[in-house]
Amino acid sequence: MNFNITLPERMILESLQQSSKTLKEINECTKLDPLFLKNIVPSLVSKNLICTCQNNKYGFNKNINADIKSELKNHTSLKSELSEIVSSSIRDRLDNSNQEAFKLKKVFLTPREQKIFKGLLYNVETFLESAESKEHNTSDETIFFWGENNYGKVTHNILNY
Amino acid sequence: MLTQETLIKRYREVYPKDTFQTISNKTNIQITRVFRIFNGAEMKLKEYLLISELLQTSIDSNEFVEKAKICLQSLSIHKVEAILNQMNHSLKLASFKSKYSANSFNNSLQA
Repeated sequence: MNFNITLPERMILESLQQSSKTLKEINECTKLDPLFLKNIVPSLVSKNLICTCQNNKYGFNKNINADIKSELKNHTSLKSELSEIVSSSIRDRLDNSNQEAFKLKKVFLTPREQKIFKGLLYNVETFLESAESKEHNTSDETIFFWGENNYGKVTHNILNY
Repeated sequence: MLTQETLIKRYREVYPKDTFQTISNKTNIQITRVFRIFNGAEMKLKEYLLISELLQTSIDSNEFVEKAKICLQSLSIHKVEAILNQMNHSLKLASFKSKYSANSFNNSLQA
């Protein structure tokens, strides 16, 4: 079964991984419109990704099997999900002039400059990895995305995909 | 905001070949009701919004279908699969919006 997980569904799963919640608590944690929750939550229950618990709460199904776990990381679905994240950020930058939403730079670096950049990037990645896990609303998390690739290779791949 | 008369007239300009059945299928408005609306009966707000939404689509549906056919013929299978996956993904996100009233669900959140 291909779950074709979307970002709102993943957000609910991550929220319930923190703790079981009622619909109202999921709404407060994710800030997802109640209209969406009414449709998404039963869908996740029917796929056995979440389960109903006592006191009208929903919880993340910790007993999902390896096949389902692998479906959650299905590459086809992930590509669509990640594209949505990046596309949304690009729209925010271009349509809403949010300068922080998306930045892209093309630059030539000498081998020495590449080493300096890798060092700086390592510091940033280490900082993000070490950010302490604190109780928080899922909707308050920040999405960072980064990567690098050779300009010529990217162009070649686009033309030959 | 367009008057009802102007809205109907514009609809006929954009979709001249649409039958009442087609309009009924697109809007989920009963065909007999579509007939009455297009013959002067007063629209409900919901009906006005449904028909307006169809006109707001900047892409002509015929162009969309024709482009899809050309893509099938001209693009690599991987590219076609990627476009199809993106369409499926978008449809799934759209399916989360339903005609269910948010108000009645808000009441259930209070429980």
